[in-house]
Amino acid sequence: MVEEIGSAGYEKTLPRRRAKRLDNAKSTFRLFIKNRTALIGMIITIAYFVIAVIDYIDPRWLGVENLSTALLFVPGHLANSELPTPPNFSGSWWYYFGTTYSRIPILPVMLGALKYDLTYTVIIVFIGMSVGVIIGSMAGFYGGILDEVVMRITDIFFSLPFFVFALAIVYVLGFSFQNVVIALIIVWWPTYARLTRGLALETKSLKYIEAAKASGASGVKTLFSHIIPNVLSPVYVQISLDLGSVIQIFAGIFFLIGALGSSSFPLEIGYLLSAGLPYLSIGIWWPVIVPALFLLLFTVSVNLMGDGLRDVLDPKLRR
Amino acid sequence: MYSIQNSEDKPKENEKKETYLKVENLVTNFYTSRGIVKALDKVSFSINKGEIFGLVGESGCGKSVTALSIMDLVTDPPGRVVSGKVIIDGFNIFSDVKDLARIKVKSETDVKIKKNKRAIKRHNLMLSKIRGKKIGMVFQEPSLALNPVLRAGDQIIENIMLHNRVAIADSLINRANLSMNDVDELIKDIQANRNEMGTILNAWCKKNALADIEAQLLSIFRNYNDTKDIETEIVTLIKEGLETVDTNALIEARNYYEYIEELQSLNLSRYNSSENITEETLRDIEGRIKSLQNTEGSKYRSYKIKKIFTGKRVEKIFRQEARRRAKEILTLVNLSDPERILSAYPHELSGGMQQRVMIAIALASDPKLLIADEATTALDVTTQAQILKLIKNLNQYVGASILFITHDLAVIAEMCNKVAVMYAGNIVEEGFVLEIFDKPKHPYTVGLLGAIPSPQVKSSEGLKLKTIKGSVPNLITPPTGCRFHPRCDFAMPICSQSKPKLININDNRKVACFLYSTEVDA
Repeated sequence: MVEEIGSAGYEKTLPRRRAKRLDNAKSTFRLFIKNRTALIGMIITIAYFVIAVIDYIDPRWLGVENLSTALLFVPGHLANSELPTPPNFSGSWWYYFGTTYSRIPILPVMLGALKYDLTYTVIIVFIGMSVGVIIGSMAGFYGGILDEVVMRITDIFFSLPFFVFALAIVYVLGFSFQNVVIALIIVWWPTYARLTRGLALETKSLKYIEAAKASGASGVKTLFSHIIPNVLSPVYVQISLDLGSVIQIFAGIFFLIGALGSSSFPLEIGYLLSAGLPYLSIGIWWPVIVPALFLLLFTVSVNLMGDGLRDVLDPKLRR
Repeated sequence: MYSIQNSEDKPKENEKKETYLKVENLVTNFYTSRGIVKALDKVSFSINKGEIFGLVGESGCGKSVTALSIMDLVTDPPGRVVSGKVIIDGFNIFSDVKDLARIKVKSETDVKIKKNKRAIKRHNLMLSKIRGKKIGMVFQEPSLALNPVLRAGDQIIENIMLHNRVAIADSLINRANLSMNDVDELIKDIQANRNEMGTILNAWCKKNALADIEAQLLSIFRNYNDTKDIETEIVTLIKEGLETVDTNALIEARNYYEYIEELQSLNLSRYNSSENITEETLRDIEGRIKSLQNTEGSKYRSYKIKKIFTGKRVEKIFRQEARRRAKEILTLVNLSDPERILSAYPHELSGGMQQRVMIAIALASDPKLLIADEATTALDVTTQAQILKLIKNLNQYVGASILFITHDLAVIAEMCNKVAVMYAGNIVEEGFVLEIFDKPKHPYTVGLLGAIPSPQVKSSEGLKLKTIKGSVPNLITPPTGCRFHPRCDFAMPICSQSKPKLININDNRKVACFLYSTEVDA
């Protein structure tokens, strides 16, 4: 009997682990592309990010090198002599979407502005997510007073409209990219805290947490290696949904800042949009509508991708 | 397949077995809104080293609560261990049970529990050093007890890393220090007498702390004939993953973890101080802790900072070594393709495989007692037989004692040396399996054994399946006196008035019944 143990079919080990992991990734991808809308969403999202990355590496590849100095402008001043020109598909691609205040071409400026929006949106969402997930799962896991306090704080945050609250914080801190980012992180973490707190509460009572405790894992260890990995897949979906909403609020704040007449910002899509606002009353629509559609497309495609990810990412759902 | 244990299980006169787990007067209550459920009422038993101890009874009689109470894993609220002792390897984990919470019972439904946060924190910290390391637990539903988002391998490795760092570092250092001479000698030895290849290898591996690659070495010797080939293969096997490691860093890490472990064990013994330890020894322990912290602590404070920078590299090597061990454990639990299992998610494994992985996780930290709480109940019969065989083999091979909890008498008969029968939160009878099955003493045991269906019942007319009349009592308002008396055929007036004591009726046989003694449990 004893001999049976220890000699049960030992096989020479092969580097199979990496191959297997690759296989897993392949099947995940195959599952994902079956969902056509999600695939389209992902392609568009990736295209946006590719543009932003190219812009960081070398803006000349987008053909926007001459704009860098021209972009520091003060929106809101109507100049009759220099009304924006309408979309023009016959000439250079710069003018496909027309021009905005002081005859700046919209399309290349938009491409150049994208990097700010995307970078700061990603920073906001990821810092907000990390803070929210850690605080929320701690609240759910430890319970008691910590839970009460954290949840009441999130209640306060939820009772205020995101946009107004963020704007108020920006007003207090002063107008700058950095402060807008800080304001939005402050506004955003409670979403994640509340989401993960609920999930952590649910996970906490499961059998494998008890099993982890039985094998001597301490509280912190259980939290970080058992609870948090298990609550993450809904969080991924929430991230992809939030990328869409945060970029809107981010652009929205700069839209307001632009409309208030603040100056000397690097061009950002919301700010660009505000530059065309005064012309809307005299029927010149493209300086506002085109950047807005540009944002909308990003939001929609990110949401579609998020929906597709939800079906694929959860190892419990896929068989 | 395998027979009921025979006489060799009885301890010989001259050989006194050491007690590993001792449970004394354990009381666990559940404070619910409908009243206090007295789930365990002064349960006492003890398990010797290397023994398989069965716990059997109807569902709801407190078997699982006993297991959870031993680990202090009873869900709180509403459950709580109120009093009693659980002595694991000489260490009473409930030495501070009175400090953890103050319980004010106004009435059955109105109970105020005031918890002492600080004491509970200390208690849990102490328990996390005991759980896993001294007691492993195998749960009933393996599919629920494995974390679905972590690979099976990661869960085993995690447990190895949690408790065995010094041992891992030791084997790594030994491997790094192995000289070519040692290898050459081994090859010469084996080629001289190939018949005893296994035993020579075993001794060599034990000497050099290389037990985890014993199977690989064996297969090398089987597959290759040329001395040169064997040599290169062995050297690559031993050096695998070692090229990148700095032995000095490893030694440093090892010393650090040893220091931590020593400190922990000292702290544990200080913690246990309320348990009849004299002032003197307590002071002695505290002095030792202080001197250890003074002499070694300062040395390691700088190491802690260094660890932040070099830790990643050492950690990676540790994980690799833990992975080797995980593979070894998986072969130990008869899983034939450990490499695949290690990188599989739990849902990709079958029920039997999951239960084996569960056992592997419990074994990873090398505990001396394994609690198998209905470990085979959720499995089908053939898998159940395999798992039972495995557990039994582990008991012989690893030498771990096993607390085997089940409601299946047949399983108990096949597996256990000793058995305790539980009824409504009490142990009513305890003894060697054969004796109890042969001559049950307590009326409940008699009924339980009589209720096993057999083919004869159907064939011979007039015979019906015997059952115990009535049902398990509500534990909020348990029957007075002996909890079994309303269902007992032999009930006497005294049974409803006072509770019988669990007494020795002969050497290894205990019964709690007034038929055998008039002793009353206070």
